[in-house]
Formats: sequence, C-alpha cells, structure tokens
Amino acid sequence: MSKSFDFKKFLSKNSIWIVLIVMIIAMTFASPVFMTSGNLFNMLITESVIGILTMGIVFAILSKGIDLSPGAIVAWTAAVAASLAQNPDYSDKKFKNLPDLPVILIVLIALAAGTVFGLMNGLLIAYTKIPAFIATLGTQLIARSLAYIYTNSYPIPNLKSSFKTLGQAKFFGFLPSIVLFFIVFVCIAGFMLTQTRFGKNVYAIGGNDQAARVAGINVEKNLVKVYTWGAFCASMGGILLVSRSGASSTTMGLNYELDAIAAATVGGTSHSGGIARISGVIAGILILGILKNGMLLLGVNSYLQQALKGVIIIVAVVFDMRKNVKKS
Amino acid sequence: MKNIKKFFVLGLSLIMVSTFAFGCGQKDNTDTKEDTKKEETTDDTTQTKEDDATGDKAKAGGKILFTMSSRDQFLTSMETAATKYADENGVELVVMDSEDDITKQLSHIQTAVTDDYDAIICNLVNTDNSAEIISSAGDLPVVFVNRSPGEANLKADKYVYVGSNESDSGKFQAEYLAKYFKDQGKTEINAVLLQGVLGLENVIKRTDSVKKGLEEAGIKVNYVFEDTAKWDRATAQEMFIQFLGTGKQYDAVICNNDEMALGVIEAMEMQGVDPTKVPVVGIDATAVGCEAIQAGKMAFSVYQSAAGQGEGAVKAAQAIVGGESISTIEGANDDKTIVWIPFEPVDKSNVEKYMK
Repeated sequence: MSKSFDFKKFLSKNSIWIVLIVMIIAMTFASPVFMTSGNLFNMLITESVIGILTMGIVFAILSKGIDLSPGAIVAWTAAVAASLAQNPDYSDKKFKNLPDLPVILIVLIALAAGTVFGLMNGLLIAYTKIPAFIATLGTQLIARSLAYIYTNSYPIPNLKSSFKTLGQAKFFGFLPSIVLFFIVFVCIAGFMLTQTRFGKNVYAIGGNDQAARVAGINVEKNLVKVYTWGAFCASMGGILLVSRSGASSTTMGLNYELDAIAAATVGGTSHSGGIARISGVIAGILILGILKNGMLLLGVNSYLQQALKGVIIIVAVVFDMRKNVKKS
Repeated sequence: MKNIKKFFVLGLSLIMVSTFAFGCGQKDNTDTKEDTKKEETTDDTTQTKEDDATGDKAKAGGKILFTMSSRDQFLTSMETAATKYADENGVELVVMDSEDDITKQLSHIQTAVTDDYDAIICNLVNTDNSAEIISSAGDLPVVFVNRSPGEANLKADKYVYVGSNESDSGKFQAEYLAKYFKDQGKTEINAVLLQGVLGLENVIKRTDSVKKGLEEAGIKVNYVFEDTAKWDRATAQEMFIQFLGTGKQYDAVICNNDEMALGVIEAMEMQGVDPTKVPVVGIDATAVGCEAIQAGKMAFSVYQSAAGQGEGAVKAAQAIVGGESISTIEGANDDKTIVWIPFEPVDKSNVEKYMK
C-alpha cells in the first residue's frame, strides 16, 4: 500500500521527465535520424550554452526575481574574448600590438568583464529595492550597447585555434567540451542548491523573504550572490559560444535569456519563488532542445515553429501550476 | 532617518550606474559631439545668411537631418560615407539615431520641421510607417535610404528613394549557381536555404528572387532544408550541424547573408566536410565574407554598397534642396523617384576589389 503511494508521488514529482520520455519515443518513431548518437550530441551541443545560462537564471527565479541580462552579457563577453583571442598573425586585428595571450588569461578577463554586470544587478536589486525586472533590463541594455560600442558592431573573426579548442574539442573521442562544461555547471548549480547554506537561503528568500530575514538570513548578501552567479554563467556561455562559432558578432545571444527562462519554467521553476529542482530544469532544457531539433529534422515550416514552442511552454506551465495547487 | 539612508543609497547607485553608462559611452558620443559642433556651425550659417542677406541655400549646401533606424555594421558604414560626403561638399548634415523606435524617428522628423531644416534623409525604422513620416515632414522633401517606403509613397523630386534593388541580390546568387551547375551539366539540384529574420522585406525579396532566378535559368531545385537562422552566424552553425546529422544530400547552400554562410562553413569544417566541394553563397560581401571567398571556402557573395547608398542619399537631398532634379544623379529612374545603387556580384576573381 505504502509502496504504490510512493510510486504515485514519484510520478507526480517527476511528471516533467515523463513528458520528456514521451517526446523522445515519439521523435524516435517520427524520424530515423533522431536516435543516432550524432544527432543527440548535436542537439546537446546546441542547447549547452542556453543550458549554462539556465543554471544561472534558475537561482534568480527561485529567489522570486528574474534576470533579463544574460543574453546581452553573452554578446559582451563574446566580444571581449574574441578581441583578445584573434590570430596573432591576422592582419586586421582589433588590437594591433596584442601579444599572444594564454587562453586561460583570456577566459579570466572575459569572465570578469561579464560577471561585473551580475554584481551590479545584485547590488541594485538588494540595496535599492528596485524590481529585478527593471534592474536587469537596465543592465541588459547597457551590456548590449557596450558590445556595440566595443566592436562598432563589426564581427571579430579569425580566432586562434588554441582558443577555439575550448568550445570545439572532444574529450575521450566523443564528449564535446561544450557539453562537458554544461554538465559541470549543472553539477555546480545542483550542489549549491541542495548541499550548501547559500542554496537553502535562496529557497527561503524565494519562499518568504521576510521570514528568511527573521530567521537571520542576510537577504541582501545572498541576492548579490544570486545575480553574480547568473552573470558568471552567462559570461562562460558567451566565451564558449564565441570559441565554438569562431567569430563574435553583436547579434550573439539575442533573446537567449528568454529561452533560458522558458527552459527553467517548463522545468517546474515557480515564478512565485521558492520552488525549483535542477533535475526538472534539465528536463525543461532537453524538452525545448528536442522540440527544436525535432522540428528541424521533420522540416516543420519555420513560420509555425515559434507557435509550437509557445504552446509547449504554456501547456507545461499550466500542468505544473495545477500540480502545485493540488499540493497546497 | 531610515528614509534618508534609503535615498542616499538610491542616489549613490544612480550616480554609479550613470557614470558607468556615460563613462563607457564616450566612444559613442562622437555623434553627439558632432551634433553640438553642427549646432555651432548652424549659428554661423544663419549669421552669414543674415549678413549677405542672399539666403543662398544651394551654395551653403543646405541643412539636412539624417534619421537612422539604428546602428549596425552596415548602417554605420553608410553613415560614415554620408557624413564624409557632406563635409566635403559643404552640406550640413546632422545624424540622429532612432534606436529602432518609430516614435523617436517621428520626433526627429518634427525636429527637422521646427528647426528649419531644408531636407530629411530617412532610414526607416519600419517600412510601413512611411506615409506617417511624409505627413509629419510637412513641406520638407524626404530622401528615403536603404529601406524603401513603397513606390506608392514616392513623388518625383520630393519623396525619393535611394537604395539597392534587393531583388537583384538573389538574382545574382541564382545566376552564379545556374552557371556553376550548368558547367557540370546538372539541371536538378538539392539545396539548403537559410533565411534572415522572417517577415522582413529584404528577406522575402532575397529569398524569392534567388528561387525565381534559378527556376528561370532552368535549374530544378529541391529544397531539402529551408529555415530561418535569423541572420546569425552561431544559429546557422548549430542548425547546419544538425542538418548534416540527417545525412541528406545537398549540392548548394544559399544564405540570405554572409554571416549565416560563414556559420555554415564553420559547421562544415567542424564536422570534417570540405566547404570547397559545395558552393556556399551569401549576400553583403562583408570583410570576413570576402576573406572566406579569397580562401575559397565561400563561393560567392553580393556586395551592397553601404557607402554608395549613404553618399547617394546626400547627393539626392542636395540636388532637391538646390532646386535641381535627381535625374542628374547616376542610377536615377525615369520617374525621378528612385536612385538605384547597384549590387555587385563578388567571387574569387574580383574579391580583392572589395577588401580593404
């Protein structure tokens, strides 16, 4: 008796994974190419950057906030990284006299340049109490405009191969580095959320920030950490994206934050704060990824694709809300 | 007390943000500076006008407001060329950026009317708003540049359009591909087509004209994959990698711009496909695109002269302000409503001409 009850609970807790499995089965029948390792890896590679961004944005949504800046931070860090990583013998370099910098230094500089925006987000939200939507909208505009100014909206091409390896290498002959980075970020996010005091604090702040404060949690400090982490993820995403695509352009990362928010939301992250599970979010990322990949394989009309994505997002959230309502 | 502290914090962060924004924005301030500079010169011109009381506008070159839709690589090159030409020819040109906002663009038009400008050069934010722009401009002549207001809104030597015929770009792509495949004796091919942002006029024209061109040349094309990569290199790259995974055969890749073509080439190289074996064609002939053509990776592109359009727009405005007709300008049509700046086909044989 107790066993069957557990099973039911397990099902309702993991309903999003069931949706994912159904999608996978449906796609396997619909397209013979879908279930090949090549295609699955390609799909994972495509979703990795947005996946990494999602690992950051989940914290913001969990704390009952939102982060609109990641896509712009991607463009900005991509530009910074690309400008420092151009082939030393390329004649049309952005910085003519730039020495051949080690890749790790380029990554660190770009990470710092991007993460600063998260710090700014966090400080604004925590100490001026302006809504996260507004603060991060502001930084979004500033970061993208900075990318435009920095590059004069010209693409920065011809990156050196040691830098491109970062996003294009394959580990053990099959695991693309960009997917490995994604897995690492999932592990870090999962660990922080479940195993650290910071994670528990974010849950508490999202559930009820007044109660969290009474319980002795330093809400401001934690919020700063949340948004700094979000920008850190976005910066890494930008570096990987540019190293993979071999040139930066200012349109990079456009609307990525919306895809990340959609993935987090489909994955069961509640916008009223306090509810999120990394496993669900991974399912959310994969569902949207498979949807995109599936529509591509099946040759779905490009006008129709957006609408289908919209329907999936709405349906997923409606189901999820019903589940939460039943619980309470 | 608490409130004071709050305000203090708020004020401080505001200052922080604004210094940050302005501090970083210094480079971008060039045009604001230019505006102020121009304003000073305005005062001078009005003074000289009063002095010799002739009010010979044509001689002074006229005072023209240039409202841009936004700034990207292409539009910035256009702006630079327009400003340069204006400086050299004694035209007073004030450039304003609408940041893709139609309301801002309309306010620029109103500024032109109230501030006694002689003409407006308008790079439309939205091609559907041209009637609105014309009615706001009152008596001022309007030169539309790069984005066409639609022929119905044009009027000889009053509301004119300077731009390139988007339909030509696709036609050039089709001509190149038709020759390429006819030389091989092929009349039926499989092709991949990557489009820019759906719904834009130039996307529709570029796509339709290449399709029509190939059809008219007697090449039967089977589009094995057709989708939008939103002008974006990274998006095109990921899409094409996934497409390669399907194992479908393709003989050519047609892209609405160079950035997407470069993404396709990057994808091919990553998956170990030789990009020189299949013609990948783009449009725009950007600097990076030209390098790829020279390296033999990209087969063909079409050059749209940003500088030609910027210069042409100022020339047209100057002619109209001076009471002349635009028909004196090369590329003008018989109706005196359009100045065509021709597209130019670019392949390995002539690519050097388009590189800096």
